[in-house]
Amino acid sequence: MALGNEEAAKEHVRQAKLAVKMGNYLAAYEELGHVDPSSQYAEEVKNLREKIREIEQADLKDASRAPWAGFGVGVLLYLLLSIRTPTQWTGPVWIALAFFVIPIIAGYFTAWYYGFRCDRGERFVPAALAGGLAMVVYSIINLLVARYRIAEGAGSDVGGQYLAELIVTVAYGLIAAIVAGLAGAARPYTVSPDDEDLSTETSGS
Amino acid sequence: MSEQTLPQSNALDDVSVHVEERANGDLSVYISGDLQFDTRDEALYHELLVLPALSIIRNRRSAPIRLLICGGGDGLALREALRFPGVEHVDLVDCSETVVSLGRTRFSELNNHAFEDPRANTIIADAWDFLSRIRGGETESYSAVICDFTVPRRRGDSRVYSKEWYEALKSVLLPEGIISVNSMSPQGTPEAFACLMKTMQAAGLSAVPIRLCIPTFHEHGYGVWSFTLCGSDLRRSDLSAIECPVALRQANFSGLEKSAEFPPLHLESTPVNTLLRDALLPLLLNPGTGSLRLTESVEPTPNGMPFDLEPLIASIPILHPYHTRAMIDTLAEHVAPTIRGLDIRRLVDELMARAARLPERFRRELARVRDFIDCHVDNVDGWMNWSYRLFAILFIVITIANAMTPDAAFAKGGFGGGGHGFGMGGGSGIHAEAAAAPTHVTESGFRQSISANSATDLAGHTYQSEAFRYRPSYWGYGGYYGPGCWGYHPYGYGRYGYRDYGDHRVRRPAEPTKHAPQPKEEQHQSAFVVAKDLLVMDNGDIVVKLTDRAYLLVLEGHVSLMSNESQEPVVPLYPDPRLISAISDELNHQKSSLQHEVDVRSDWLTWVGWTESFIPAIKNDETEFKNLKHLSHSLETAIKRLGKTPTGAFKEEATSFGDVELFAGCVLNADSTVRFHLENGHWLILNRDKVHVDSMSLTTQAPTGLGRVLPGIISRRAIETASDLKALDRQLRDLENDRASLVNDRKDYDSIYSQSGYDGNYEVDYGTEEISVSEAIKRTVNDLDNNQKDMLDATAIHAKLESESLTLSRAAEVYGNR
Repeated sequence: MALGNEEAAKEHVRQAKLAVKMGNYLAAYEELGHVDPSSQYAEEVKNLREKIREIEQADLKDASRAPWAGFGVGVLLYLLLSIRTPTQWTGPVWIALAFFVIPIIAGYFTAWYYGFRCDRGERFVPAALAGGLAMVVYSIINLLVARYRIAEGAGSDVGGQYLAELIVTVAYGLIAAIVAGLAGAARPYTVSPDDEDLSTETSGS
Repeated sequence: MSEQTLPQSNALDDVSVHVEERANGDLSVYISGDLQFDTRDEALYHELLVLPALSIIRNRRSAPIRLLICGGGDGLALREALRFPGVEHVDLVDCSETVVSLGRTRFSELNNHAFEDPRANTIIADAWDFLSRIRGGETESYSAVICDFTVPRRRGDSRVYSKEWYEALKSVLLPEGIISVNSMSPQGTPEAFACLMKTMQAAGLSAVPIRLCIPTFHEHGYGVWSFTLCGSDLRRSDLSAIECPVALRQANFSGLEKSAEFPPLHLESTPVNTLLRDALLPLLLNPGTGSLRLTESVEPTPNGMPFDLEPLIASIPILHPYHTRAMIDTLAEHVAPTIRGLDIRRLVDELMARAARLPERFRRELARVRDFIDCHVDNVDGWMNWSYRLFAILFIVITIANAMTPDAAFAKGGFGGGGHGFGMGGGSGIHAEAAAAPTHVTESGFRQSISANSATDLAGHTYQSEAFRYRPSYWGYGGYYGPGCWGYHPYGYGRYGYRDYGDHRVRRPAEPTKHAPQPKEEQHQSAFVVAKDLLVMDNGDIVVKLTDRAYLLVLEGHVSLMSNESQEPVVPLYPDPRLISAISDELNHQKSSLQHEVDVRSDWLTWVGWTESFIPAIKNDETEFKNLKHLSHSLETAIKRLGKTPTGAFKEEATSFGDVELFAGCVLNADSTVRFHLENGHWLILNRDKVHVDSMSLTTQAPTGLGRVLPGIISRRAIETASDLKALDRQLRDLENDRASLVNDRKDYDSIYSQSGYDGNYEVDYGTEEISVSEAIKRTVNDLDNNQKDMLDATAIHAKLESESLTLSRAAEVYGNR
């Protein structure tokens, strides 16, 4: 094989590895597709393809689980928050915990589980889902309990109270979702230490 | 081939003997169904049973051999013994005359006419009895004992394999003597074989078992057979030294020591067969189960059946030789259908018929069970499944809810308590007639703005507000004695009025002077109705309504009898701790309830409060919250203004029969005088239109205010007393009816008792129970006693009320027209 072809193959493999590190697997596959099968890099190309496939599958699993993991963390934290009522926490403390601290933790955890090796926009949605849903669950349960504790009198408007519960739940859920989503997307694109084995230096000469 | 079953000869001879004769002249003999010998290989059996033992004895001592053969009535073991050199005497003990008779006749050719040998002594007896008889006697000890018993098949058979049996044999044996035992199959019944070994060891014998294969036994499924030699100091190596002096027809002693090699027996958990514990027979009849298997617990299985029947069936022990495992298995095939085939409804109906004699209440419960089964028996399984699921869900929900809000999950906290009366009434004059205080905020009154002319109660009911005019500052600086307020001073209760009698908690009043400032008159509206006669003013003062004209004003630890027609106190009263305490308790209780309502609404509004601008329901909630908060604040103020409950010793004024407590601090005496407990502790006595203080002789004209309020108070008290009397009359009538009924019951029980022949255990109906007549009489007598006590109490109260009513009537005549 001509030396020029070998040089080109080496460059394609290097570009493929870079693409993998950037999380652009399609580009990596494309680069690997340009490598001549008869070149000395054929074996490395094969191994790299296997590696990409494994990473893709792992990412796929993490991505599907991430919102649920974040939701679990959020619900757990809100459960702890429920030990005291908002009045007992006092307004500012409760607002800080319910609308900022817990959604931020839930959102960041979701993003961490999802993996930081993707765009911010891609991480925003699962983080927002996790934080928002956890707040919705917290709100619904606490509103039900709070309304239950108020003795219903002849003059009470139960329908109106239900409407208020619905509006509050949606509004608080949205706020928490936005905060959690932002927390999840806050960290910039990062290459995971796991990818260190994808050396940019090719083994061929 | 011919077969012949011989009849039993006597009671001892409880065996059936079956002889199977084949065409070639061979015989098979069965006793109680078990093969005893077959002529084809009987020599092998009997040579190995008898000759090794005799050979060892011959090696150990040269003296003539005395032999005891237990069993072996067929004479074949006897034949082998008699042909052994040195055998001087043989006692053969067999319980079966039938078998011995066969040995003497039909088997005589086989046993070489052994019974006719002069050395042989045959005893028809139970071997156990025979041994018991000779033990300790003068009978010479035996050189060897041959135990040729059939394998135990029935309870009692195994006693000749017991520890006690071998101990008995040992006692009639020479020290160097040998016992040879037909010891069942180590292959077919290994547990029983091990049990026998352990039993011999327990009897102090060294046992050396020898296994051999007897072809006809093998044909019958008995497996490898064994004999066991035992003695005081017997070793397996003794077998190697055996030199049999007689010719052997089938046995071969050259490999005898090898035949005595057995794998190690694990005897730790093996039981010893004793007379008290028949361990051998169950092991013989249930081979392969092990002794522990019979007592294994049966675990429930998850397949819907309460238990898996397999281990249950397998655990049924076989206790009879004709009771086979196959029979049990066949029965087991029908057990489950049999259980399923039970008609539960019919079963319950039968139970109901039996239960007809049970108490009525119990029968009703059983009827409900029957109805339930009728309706649901087909769906019980599904119902159970859903019950489990429902229970699991409820458990999880309640656990989470409790973790979050304990009060809501288990309805803890909340409201409670009842109301008190604070005005007039019987007894203390404090707790009476007022309506019970509401216990829960349930009405809508708080969801609207409460106008200045309205009062509310805890439940949110609105009332027309009542106005009261008085001079509250009297208690602040002693202006009560000032000019224009003639109080008591003008009537000459001492130089300084009655406050000079030592109440240090009250500031000493100023000297009456025309220049003292006039206390400001105030008008206040009732804002909160604590109870029917207990009101909280808009400024937190407390009013206890006595009548439409009279009330008690409670303020900063002071109590005054007030009239609606005057702003000054009619009589300043001693602050009765009972009154103050009762008011304080009720206020605190209602305050606590209100505070709870305020708190829960605060929580609710923390969540949804911001929606009030566009959701009217939440706006109403906000209004309600503010009203409740305001009310709670009013109650808090009232509690503060009420002051502390007096802590000094309060001496309650003794009242005599006929006296009536009109309200706290005021007693109407039977002689129509009225006593007011003054603020300084003295009593002001009102007698018609004159008053005087108890410690002073000076009598003056009664203030007009008293004349205005007293008739109303007496009149209301009279109405209450009349009402109480009516209620008490009803109670007395009920008690009298109860008594008449109890007396009749007593007569009935006495009659039943005498008719039953004075049998105290005779069952009778007692309400919903069935108890013994003596117990019924005892309880009836007890009820009569209690009824008598209640009657006495009620009669006493009735008499007191009647007396009070009379006093009130007289007082109404005295004060009513004023």
